Amino acid sequence: MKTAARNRRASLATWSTLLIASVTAGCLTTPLKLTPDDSPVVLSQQLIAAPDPGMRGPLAVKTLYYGSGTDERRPEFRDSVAIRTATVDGSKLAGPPNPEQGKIRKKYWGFDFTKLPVNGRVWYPEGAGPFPLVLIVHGNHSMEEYSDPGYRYLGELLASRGFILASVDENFLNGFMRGENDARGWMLLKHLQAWRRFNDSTGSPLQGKVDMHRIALMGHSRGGEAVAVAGAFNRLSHYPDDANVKFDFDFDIKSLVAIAPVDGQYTPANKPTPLSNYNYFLIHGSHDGDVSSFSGLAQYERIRYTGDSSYFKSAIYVYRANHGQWNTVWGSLDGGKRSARVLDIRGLISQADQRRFAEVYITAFLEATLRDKREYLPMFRDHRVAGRWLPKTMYITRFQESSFHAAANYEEDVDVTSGSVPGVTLEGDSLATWKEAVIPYRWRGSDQGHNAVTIGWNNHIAGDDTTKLGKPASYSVTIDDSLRSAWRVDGGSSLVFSLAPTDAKPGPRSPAKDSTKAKGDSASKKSPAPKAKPKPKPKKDAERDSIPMDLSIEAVDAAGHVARVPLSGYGVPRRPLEAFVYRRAGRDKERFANTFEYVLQTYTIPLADFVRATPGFDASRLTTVRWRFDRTVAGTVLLDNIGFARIPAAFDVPAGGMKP
Amino acid sequence: MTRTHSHSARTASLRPSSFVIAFALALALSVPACTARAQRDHYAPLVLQLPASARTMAMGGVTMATRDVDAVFGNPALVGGNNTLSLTGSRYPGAATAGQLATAMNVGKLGIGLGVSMLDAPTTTELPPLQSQVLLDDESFARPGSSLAATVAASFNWKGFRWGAAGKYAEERAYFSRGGAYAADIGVTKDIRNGTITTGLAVQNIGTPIRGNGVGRNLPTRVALGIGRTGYGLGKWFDLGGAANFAVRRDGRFVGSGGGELSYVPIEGVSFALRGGVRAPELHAQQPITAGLGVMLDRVALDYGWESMRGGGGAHRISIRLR
Repeated sequence: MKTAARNRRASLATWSTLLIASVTAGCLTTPLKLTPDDSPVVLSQQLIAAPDPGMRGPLAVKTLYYGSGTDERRPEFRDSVAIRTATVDGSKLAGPPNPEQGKIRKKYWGFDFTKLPVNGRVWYPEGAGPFPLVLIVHGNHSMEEYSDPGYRYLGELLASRGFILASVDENFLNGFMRGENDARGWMLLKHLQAWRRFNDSTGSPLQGKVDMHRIALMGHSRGGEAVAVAGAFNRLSHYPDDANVKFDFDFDIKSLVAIAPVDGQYTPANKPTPLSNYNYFLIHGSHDGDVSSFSGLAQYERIRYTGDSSYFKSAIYVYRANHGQWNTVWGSLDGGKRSARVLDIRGLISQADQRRFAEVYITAFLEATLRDKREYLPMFRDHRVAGRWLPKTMYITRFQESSFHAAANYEEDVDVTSGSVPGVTLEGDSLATWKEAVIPYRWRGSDQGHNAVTIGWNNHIAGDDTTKLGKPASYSVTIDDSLRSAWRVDGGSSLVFSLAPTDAKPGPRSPAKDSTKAKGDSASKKSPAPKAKPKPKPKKDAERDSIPMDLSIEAVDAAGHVARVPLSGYGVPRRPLEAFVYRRAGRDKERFANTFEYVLQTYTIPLADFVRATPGFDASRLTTVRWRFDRTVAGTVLLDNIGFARIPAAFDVPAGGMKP
Repeated sequence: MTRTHSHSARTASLRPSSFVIAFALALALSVPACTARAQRDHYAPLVLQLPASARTMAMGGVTMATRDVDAVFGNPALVGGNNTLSLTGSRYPGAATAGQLATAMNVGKLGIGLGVSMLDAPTTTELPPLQSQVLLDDESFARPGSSLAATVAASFNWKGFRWGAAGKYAEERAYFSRGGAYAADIGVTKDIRNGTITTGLAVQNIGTPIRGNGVGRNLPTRVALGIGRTGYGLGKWFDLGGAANFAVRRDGRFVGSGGGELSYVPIEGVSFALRGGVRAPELHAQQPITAGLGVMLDRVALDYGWESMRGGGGAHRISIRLR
């Protein structure tokens, strides 16, 4: 009897404990919050007629490994290498500032930074070639859970379509390392040197198969920064932090792909990594539980295009994507298994969908930039043209083509009326907010390293009559004749700018002062004393706003013709996409400055569209572009990178155009 | 400017081999004690020989390598860290009760810990030192007895190790008589395997015998070595931790103790812990088995500890820790 009672008590205690634990966890968990999905409408069209780039191609796929042949930990790089490679000495790049890390690696891997292996797993198409070469490198993760096999899905897809993909092993740089992204980037270039030998060596299984003039580098997380570092080092003769290390690379790298990259972990000569004249494609998930801000945007902004060659850069923010699902080894928990306690993964799109996005866009980018499949180019300007190929979630696209000339990027001075070059004038009318400031990241205390103008308006006139509206507020950019000529602005040009509505709503504007009424007006004396009204509650300067937004873009020519198009015809002016990363209620607000990231959508409006809208409008005599806030009564937007470009026709939305 | 975030800057799960060996050794040293003869009480004061907090009690009384506010009662090299306050109350099978207050903070590069530990135990003897039997007795005509220790400890990093020292005053009273002594601890710790394992060494209770009314008894001086492992992940929701101590007492006796902690973490900041320990009893009144539970909610932790005592009863201890 006693035993039975004791068992009952123990059972009761156990169940009570579990119940308390579940209830506690339940009470502390934040409810799932997602921005309402507009993809059924936004992604309802498929305007590109080319084959789906996410589908496998016709070529048979072969695989091989290359490497040191002595790897103690990785049987594939010890026993299965088809091509042996020599080790490289990365001690000057990866060694400092913590030599202890070298010892840790020596103990685990059997080598330190002086003998880094050049290991890779390769997917390549059957056939004579030569095929474009793409290297992909993982980022930081547990060094004992090897990351390089996690891109097999891309390897098999790309190889079947005629690319060689090598997933580079840099697991020995993983773990508790800091500031080693120079070594990660440099290793990529050492791999390319190895590939040159593979291609040139008689008897090599890859002899003659590699097109060393069509190369792309891809990287994920820290690897995403590493590809930018590699791009910069590729054109340098010396290592910026120690000129005794000489570089001799100069490969024909055409394109760089950064997947959820970090930025600024390595700064050559203490400067943000400069980069120019590469095609650049950047993707990042809104629900990234590791790199929780879109930090690659800073590198995106730093890419410059010089000369006459044609390049472009594009960045896509993928709502509900995380950090790890781009790699099959990393998976949905961005902080490892135990981060299930921390991260809210309920809102994530499925692993298959996230990889599907990578397959579609990365393949399209490589097809377009390495194999001149120009039919895919419109995707990088406006994701809506590929609605049927994309997983159903929301996207924000940034885009810039090398012919772009910035009229206003808000970097040059503190005068809000001057543009980025002489000959540009900026003007605001009836604005509640008009200021230029750096765009903050979601991460508290950090920013995108780039300024934008914040424009707020409220067309309501303060007072008893809540229907009374004033003249629509506006913000305009005026360019002079010489600039227009220099940039060859005409009907073949496009107006380009990036814009993001925010959730701030300024209060009503003050009524215009009535100068006809004077103090002591006799009429007012006769009128009965107005009934005392209760004091209105003090209103905040800017309230949160969630009403869908639209506005008009006006173009004015020298003859005064005004042409107007709605912004929503060229993209969705969405308010910030809310992303809650953590399970604990309140954690996101505690750890981040915002529960969203400011990601500006790029709008490209052909000036020919203005001509169509208003016959008589002469694009070649354009003087002013105006953002006229006439379609939403009140709101705030961030506006940046305003300019003109003569974008090649291949980027145009295919015939038929987007239906608004 | 961008932040320097990275993909999970963690290293791989580490093999717990060294820890397991140490833990097994501690068990091996403590298990024979389960069947050992009744111990005689050799040292005084009694309060310095009782476990520190509910958590340490539940884990066999190990303190050499466990990071806790109560390190002030254990290895002084581990004091400091987060600003923490701990309050503990204990009830023994007899009429004895005990209480502890400990706090830890950082002052510049120093970790500072302060602790007061007090035992109220009615006694049938008129002179100190108290015997551990007072923890079990519930005599109607017992006289007032108490044991008290106040400690201040500091720690700092030097040459890759964390060093610490503590000074304490201990006193014991029985009826109207009392005896007191000053004592010191010194300790050193080293984190290994990227901080997942802590090792510690300390010499405790260095001082002259405690005296009262001409009777003297040595302090419980000892050299103790410990190892502790913080949460070793068992799947997504559970962590396993443990600690082990080995000590050589003044009389040359070698004693061991060890304990483990299984935590269920349903969400960040909340954990429910189940603890158990085994020890070689050093007091006549003690038995080898200890156990306990703990609940942590962000900065507040509530722990319960139980230790088996001679005569079939047990001592209960509750601690609340505020960070």
